Amino acid sequence: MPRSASPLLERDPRGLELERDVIVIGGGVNGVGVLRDATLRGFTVSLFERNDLAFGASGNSSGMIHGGPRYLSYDPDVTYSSCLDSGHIQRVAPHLLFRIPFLMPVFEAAGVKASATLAAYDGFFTLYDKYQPLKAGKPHARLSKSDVQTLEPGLVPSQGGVSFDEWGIDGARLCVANARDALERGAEVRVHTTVLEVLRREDGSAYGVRYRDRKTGEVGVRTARLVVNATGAWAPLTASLGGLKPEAARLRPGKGIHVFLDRRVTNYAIATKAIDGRQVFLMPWQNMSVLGTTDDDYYGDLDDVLATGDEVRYLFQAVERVFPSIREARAIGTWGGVRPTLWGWGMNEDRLSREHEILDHTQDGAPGLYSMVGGKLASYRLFSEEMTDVIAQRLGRGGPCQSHTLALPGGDEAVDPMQLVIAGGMEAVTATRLEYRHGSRSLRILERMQRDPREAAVACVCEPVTVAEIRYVVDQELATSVEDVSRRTRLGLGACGGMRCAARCGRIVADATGQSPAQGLAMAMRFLRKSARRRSAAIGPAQARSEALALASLRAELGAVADAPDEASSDPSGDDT
Amino acid sequence: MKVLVLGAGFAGVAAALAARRAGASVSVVHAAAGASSLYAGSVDGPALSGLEPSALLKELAVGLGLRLSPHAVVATREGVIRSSHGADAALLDLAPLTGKRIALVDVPRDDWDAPLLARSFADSDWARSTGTRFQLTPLDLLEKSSQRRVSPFDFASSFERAERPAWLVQVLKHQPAADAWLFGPWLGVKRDLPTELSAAVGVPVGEVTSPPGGVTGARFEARRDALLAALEVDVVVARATGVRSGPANVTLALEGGRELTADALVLAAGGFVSGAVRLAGALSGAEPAGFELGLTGLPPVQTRGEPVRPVSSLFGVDLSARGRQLLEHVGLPVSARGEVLGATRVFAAGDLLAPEPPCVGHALVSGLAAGAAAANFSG
Repeated sequence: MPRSASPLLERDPRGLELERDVIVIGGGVNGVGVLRDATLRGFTVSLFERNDLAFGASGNSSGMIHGGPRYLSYDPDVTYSSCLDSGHIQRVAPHLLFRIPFLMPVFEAAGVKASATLAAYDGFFTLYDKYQPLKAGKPHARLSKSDVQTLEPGLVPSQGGVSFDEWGIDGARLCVANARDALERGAEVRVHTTVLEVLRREDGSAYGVRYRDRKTGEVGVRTARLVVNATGAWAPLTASLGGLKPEAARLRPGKGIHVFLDRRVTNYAIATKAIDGRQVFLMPWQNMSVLGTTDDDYYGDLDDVLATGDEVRYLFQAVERVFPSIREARAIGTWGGVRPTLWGWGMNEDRLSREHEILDHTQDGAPGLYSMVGGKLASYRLFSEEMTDVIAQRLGRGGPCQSHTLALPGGDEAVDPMQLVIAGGMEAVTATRLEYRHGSRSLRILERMQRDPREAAVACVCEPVTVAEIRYVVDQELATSVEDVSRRTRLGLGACGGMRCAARCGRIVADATGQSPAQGLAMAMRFLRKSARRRSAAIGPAQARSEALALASLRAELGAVADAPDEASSDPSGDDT
Repeated sequence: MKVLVLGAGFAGVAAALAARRAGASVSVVHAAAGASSLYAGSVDGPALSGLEPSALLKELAVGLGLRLSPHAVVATREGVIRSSHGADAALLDLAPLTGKRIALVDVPRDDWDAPLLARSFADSDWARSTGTRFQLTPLDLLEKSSQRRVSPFDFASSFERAERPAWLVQVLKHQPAADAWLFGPWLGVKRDLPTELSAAVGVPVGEVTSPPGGVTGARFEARRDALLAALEVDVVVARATGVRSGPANVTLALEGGRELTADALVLAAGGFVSGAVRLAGALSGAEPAGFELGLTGLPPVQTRGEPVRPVSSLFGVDLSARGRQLLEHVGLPVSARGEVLGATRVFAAGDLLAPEPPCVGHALVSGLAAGAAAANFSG
């Protein structure tokens, strides 16, 4: 099949001029990454997302921008580019990254001397130290038995260990920041809008999409010169919307789950091995702890990925071996995501490539249509740059890539949270969390509070989240429901699971979007049901009983609203593909 | 006749009252705060509707400050208007106020979003079908700005200080007339401010429902303690560890080795949340366990008539697979008169029976029945 590009057609089959340069399908991190990069280079771009920004793997990952130490032994170039890009992301969104020091304790194991393991780790991370400056990481340290015990008293006695440095991030915030930047530069972003069909001319070339707004039911067409399928694990389904065989964008999706504890129980992220030898971790992340992760072939519904009880047990079993008091910890929820792992047959999930590829569907008779497959959160910017390079080359224009030099919204200048405390009367923790999520944009939220002091009220006390921030993410960040607000602010993801704040948030969202109070309460109940389903895999019987009572109380508060149909049956979209 | 009652929530108090009135001497044993203390008033539920309250039930309602009227209508803190049976009498009863103008108090507290609540109440089917209006009324009730964020309990307590109720009456009297005053859950804990204020301003004054851990539960505890004292019930604060029942008597073992013996025992320790009775078994792989009651000497629990047995997993029950609703229905198997099957002289009440989702009405009725049955036990 010839790979050289045929001349681009500038009109749709009816002879009308094309509306956009590029249409991006998918509001995950790669989709918004291309959206932003292409917009910065002067292209006109529209993005369609079937659910919400960061709905899939991007918002359900381990939340790390790591430097890729696992590639060091066989492909150091990948480690180099990962560390380099981690540095780039730090520069454009400094507020969103937080340091996660890792601790890798070494234990006696049958047949291997601990001292040998320790020496091997020490040598390995000495090599990794060479790349750390690229991402402002600290060099590793070799730790004695007593060092490890002092740093993490909750660990069972070890034979020593090593520490190394990585960076954490809120993946949903990263997606929102990219989308927001593109919006401000003239791009179009449509969330909760599903693509029904990728439109193709008689010669097979793609020229746009037919879409349906899942909230209003509105159906429309948007035309463009190129169409990019950036739908992660949904990629084969999206390819089939263009009349291609799903195999044209073949993946081997791998489900990964995380369990959340209600607080930070360690100082360091602790890396340890699960029963099958896989590396898993217990990690302090934002204001809680995360256990992760699994990697299993996934054949289920991508719109409804749930952790199961046995996946949770696998993680607890691994961690409690080295950190026994984890048994006493309170699990408050789970995340399930599906990695868009590249296809491979006859090997374990862990062995599959984490690399990414751009598929030009000219080879399938659909010029103008591309699929982004594979990839990981840490490499989103690089992957997006590569995709946008292809776009620029195909369209024969566009400026240089700027996504690694121009700050994302909020990343342009540092804001001292104390300034927010003094000017807005916020409590310190409220201000710190707000500044983390919004960087310099937190000043805009502060302005809201100063205009209307009522908006300074803290609606979600666990995280915490103010009324002003809820209204801001509805006005400025495309949130349309309690769940959307939660994804952007972490409202309702704390210890109470939204039982104290979801209804209020529903009333606020309804008020801000012109819906009735009853509709607001109904969307709160949908959020609470979903969050209860996510928690149920992780909680023990005693906690379940207490939760049953809390839900009974909530039912009494919400009355008949509580019995409204749940999300699946209230979705007006009906038989979505 | 000596009766032991384990648990001092709604069911336990009801059992103690019924047993005292039947002539028994009663000891109530309790430890941690349970569902009644945390959720009182929120989960009033339907159990009392259509039931002619007995004299004992009425006495209990007065003692605990509950409104038994089956026709009451209340406003919830989440902006919903619903019927209510057996909730805290401090809640404003909207039923007699149809077509009237109700002043909703607007105070700049973080947990009180009065403008949107007023919209939500006004938008309800009840308000629209009855033509009842909710009028947002700002009141300057904060003594200092830090009261924006203090707990509802502390804020409620602040109105009990000597001069504050009279001051509050003056504040209300200086406002344009309203047909009723609807407050957040702040009208006192130990003092019956709603009644005082209503009498002083001449129109009903009351609250919306209280959040978990809020004032309604605190009021319950205060009234319960007063009621138990008035009934001359002996109160023992201790955690129970086991039950031994025999032909002659029943013994309750307490933490620390102490034992109490009586002619009959009422288990009213709540579901598995209250701290007195717990389910053993966790996510841990180290300790194989299925369902097990934390109190030894009792028969296995049941759910919907089926015994709950350890499952075929070293890790206990997978709740995500079996459904959480199951646990709402886990309870002890009892005979028609409330006697625990397989354990003579032992009766059960309240959530421990758990034939239906927990609610105050069910706890009261089953508590009274179990207390009477225990006091009248004759082998």
